[in-house]
Amino acid sequence: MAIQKVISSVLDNPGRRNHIINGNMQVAQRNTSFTSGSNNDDVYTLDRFYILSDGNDIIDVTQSTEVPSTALNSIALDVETVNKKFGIAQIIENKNCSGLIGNTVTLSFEAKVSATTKLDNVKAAIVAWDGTADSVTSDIISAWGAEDTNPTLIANATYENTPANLNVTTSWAKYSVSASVDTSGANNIIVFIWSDVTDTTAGDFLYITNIQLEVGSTASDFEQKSFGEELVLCQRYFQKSYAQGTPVGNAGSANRYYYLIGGNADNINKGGSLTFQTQMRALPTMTFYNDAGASGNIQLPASAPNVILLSTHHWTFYITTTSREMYGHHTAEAEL
Amino acid sequence: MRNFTSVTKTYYNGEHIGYIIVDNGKTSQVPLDFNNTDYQDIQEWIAEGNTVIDNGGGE
Repeated sequence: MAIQKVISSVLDNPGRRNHIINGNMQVAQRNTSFTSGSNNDDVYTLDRFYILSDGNDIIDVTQSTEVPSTALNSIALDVETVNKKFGIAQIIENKNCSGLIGNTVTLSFEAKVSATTKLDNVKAAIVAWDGTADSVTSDIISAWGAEDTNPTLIANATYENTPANLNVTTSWAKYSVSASVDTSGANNIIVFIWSDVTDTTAGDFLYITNIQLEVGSTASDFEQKSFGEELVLCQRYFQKSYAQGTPVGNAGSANRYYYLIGGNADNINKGGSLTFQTQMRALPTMTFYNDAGASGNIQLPASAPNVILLSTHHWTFYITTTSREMYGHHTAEAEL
Repeated sequence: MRNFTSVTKTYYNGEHIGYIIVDNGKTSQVPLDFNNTDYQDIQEWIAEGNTVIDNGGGE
């Protein structure tokens, strides 16, 4: 009897259910705060999540400690430009859509608003992409539409559920929507959670955390992963030389990344090959930073490394320089 | 469509190996990979009639 009970429990609640990465908003490699200049429409914020908004600088985004009892962090969406719709989305890589496409799936999350006076219509959608696999047009919105009118999606993007007002309140609660992912030729799934009102007040907040997408018609408990595990999953799409907790482009000389030590003083090509922290989804875009946090060059020499990318697990670089050392910072990005 | 400030071809030993993009004040290096979304955006930007800077592959 005891063995049967254990087996039943395991089968009803198997691990690795959640196809969302960083659903509890713990990983924030780029920064923990995204304000004017870094909060544009279609821009990545906390790892794996990007903004979808009706224009730029519609919301400030922060990694928040305003949380339910089940989480350490949430994503806080703070209204900056009033009377515009806004939300967040995550694109699931084709390889990770296995088991989702062709089946009934459930999207769940916990949310609250700071006031329901204006933010009184939050919706969630499971969107299928039937264009080329992993060549998703991340800005899936064609037209935001009027209040309580679901945004019109671009070609190749289809709502699999019929989004409706979830009536999010000022208290944390769990919400879920289910759908059959039955769009013919679907290759990717996008989850999209947004405020569907067009009369907002600056300073109002929408908080979201514990986002989960799983097979089945019911929402199970959020699948907690270790921080290290979640970080590695995120690094397939974005990684950096900065220490975790140090924002990308941070000004300062602490914790410089040394690419080369002990070269000679001849003006020749110097460089080498470095391994990525985890294998990346695609050949990544590389961005280099100096001590001032400006992009383009590393700090020493004040040049841009010439990058030769032939693999998703390592990169090769060189600079023609007299410098005997090379240091600075870099990021590697292979987001969808 | 992305509105790049500039897109410049990069070379190694005379072979075109990527692009340097300037976008929203950030300078980055983009590989020739159809799976890289920046590469995809560059191709769309080119298809719209924009011009890539090509300084040649002379070393």
